[in-house]
Amino acid sequence: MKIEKQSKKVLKELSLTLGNINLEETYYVVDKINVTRGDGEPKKDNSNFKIIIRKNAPKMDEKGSYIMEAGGWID
Amino acid sequence: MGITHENLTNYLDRIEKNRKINAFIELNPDAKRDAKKVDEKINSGTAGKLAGLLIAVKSNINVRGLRATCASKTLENYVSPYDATVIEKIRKEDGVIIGMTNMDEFACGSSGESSYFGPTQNPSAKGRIPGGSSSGSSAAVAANFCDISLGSDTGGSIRNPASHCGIIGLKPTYGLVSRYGLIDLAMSLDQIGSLSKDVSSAALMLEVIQGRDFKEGTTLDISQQDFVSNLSSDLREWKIGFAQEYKEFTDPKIVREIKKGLDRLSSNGAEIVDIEISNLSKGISTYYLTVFVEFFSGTRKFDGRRFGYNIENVCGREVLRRIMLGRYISQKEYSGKYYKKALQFRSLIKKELLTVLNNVDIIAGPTVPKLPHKIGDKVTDPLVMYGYDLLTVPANLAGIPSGVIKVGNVKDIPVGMQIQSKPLGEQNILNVMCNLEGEK
Repeated sequence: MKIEKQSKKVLKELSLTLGNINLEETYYVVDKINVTRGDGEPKKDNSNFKIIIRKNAPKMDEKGSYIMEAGGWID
Repeated sequence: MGITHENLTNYLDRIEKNRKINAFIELNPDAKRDAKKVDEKINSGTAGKLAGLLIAVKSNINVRGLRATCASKTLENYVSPYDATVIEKIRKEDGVIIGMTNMDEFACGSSGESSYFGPTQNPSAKGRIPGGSSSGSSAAVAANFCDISLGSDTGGSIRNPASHCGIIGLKPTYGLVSRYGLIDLAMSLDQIGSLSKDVSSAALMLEVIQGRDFKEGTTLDISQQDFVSNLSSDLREWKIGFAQEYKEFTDPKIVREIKKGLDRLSSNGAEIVDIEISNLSKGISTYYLTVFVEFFSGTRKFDGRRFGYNIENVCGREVLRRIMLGRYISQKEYSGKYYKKALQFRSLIKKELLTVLNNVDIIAGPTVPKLPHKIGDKVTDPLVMYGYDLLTVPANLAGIPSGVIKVGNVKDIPVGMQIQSKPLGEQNILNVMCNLEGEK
């Protein structure tokens, strides 16, 4: 598969460019999160959230299977 | 007819006459109703800061009732059930959403060509790519289809198209603007920002969308900043750094235009100093190895069972490549070899940039190393395409703010200068852009 071959090449090249280093890793959550914040007050959602989210759900056929589409548009 | 309604009518008319630009995926059917409401508020003297302005939104930001497709077949029919925090803030200040813009599929691209809805044209350089991934947001501003647009920037997705389209782009400090409601590309690098025609609009939008958000754990706990009233073009005693490494990787024609921009800043009182960013070339590898893993993780929810289609079944080549690489690297036995190594280099790049920024007020340089290619010119090697991001990814890896403003043209193709500052140094960036804008 062409994409798989290209992917292996990409990974090899990117890894080679970096070489080796021994430093601490940057984990963004540890650096940035506001751990002392409060949770805020809950509030009632009066929007049409549930109606929209149900409409977003995939359709099912008579056997209860999801109707999916495998796209050929990329080719 | 009120001013908002009149603006909207003019913009819709222009969009209709220039459909070939393909900047929008969907227009807001409720925009007229919203505009009328805002006009009533203007008449009664109760309108907010964004009253009268029409805002376009990148299709990876949730706007209730409109489709957040990420320009992918995967979410082709996905209607947002809620507003992202930035949209809530825009509505509160009476901005009207005009529509959802085109983009590279799931923000995986730098050209604006990988959209399921077709490529976007560059209104400022006919026949060429507008850059990406915020291609439609950038084209919409450049073609005068809206006042301001929102984009997202993971490795240059606001700045790259802003440079190619000759407009203002601003990526804020990581954590200054809430990402709640933004569909991730890579959560540790993503940031929502603006694209606009002028600097004051960029300052105004940042003033509105900034701030701590209880729904988003990485937002910073700092007080609201007043960017508009603090705008100043005075650069006396400013030190502006320019890295010699930029010349090594950038088209000499672009460097020439950037140098002209630096000369203007120098003649306006700033001192230009040489700086060294020796790890610039490591940015691309560090960035992509991080993105592959985080993108793979972020896309696991697109399994087609709750909404949309299964992503692997319907996505484009670049999205599939990133998912495959992310899956591979995420396996336990490989994580140390690639992802952890990338996190270590991220520390190195961040440290280097912050050290440099201790000695200068801002770093100025080119935004994209190459001029935008012609639409349809196939770039088949992904590594060549990744090269477009070389100069923009360091700001995301370090979490620092960065802006872009047009400083010249090469054969009628706009060239944007990138301006980077310390964390929370947005005012510095806006003020330098203000100086350059006054010079135009």
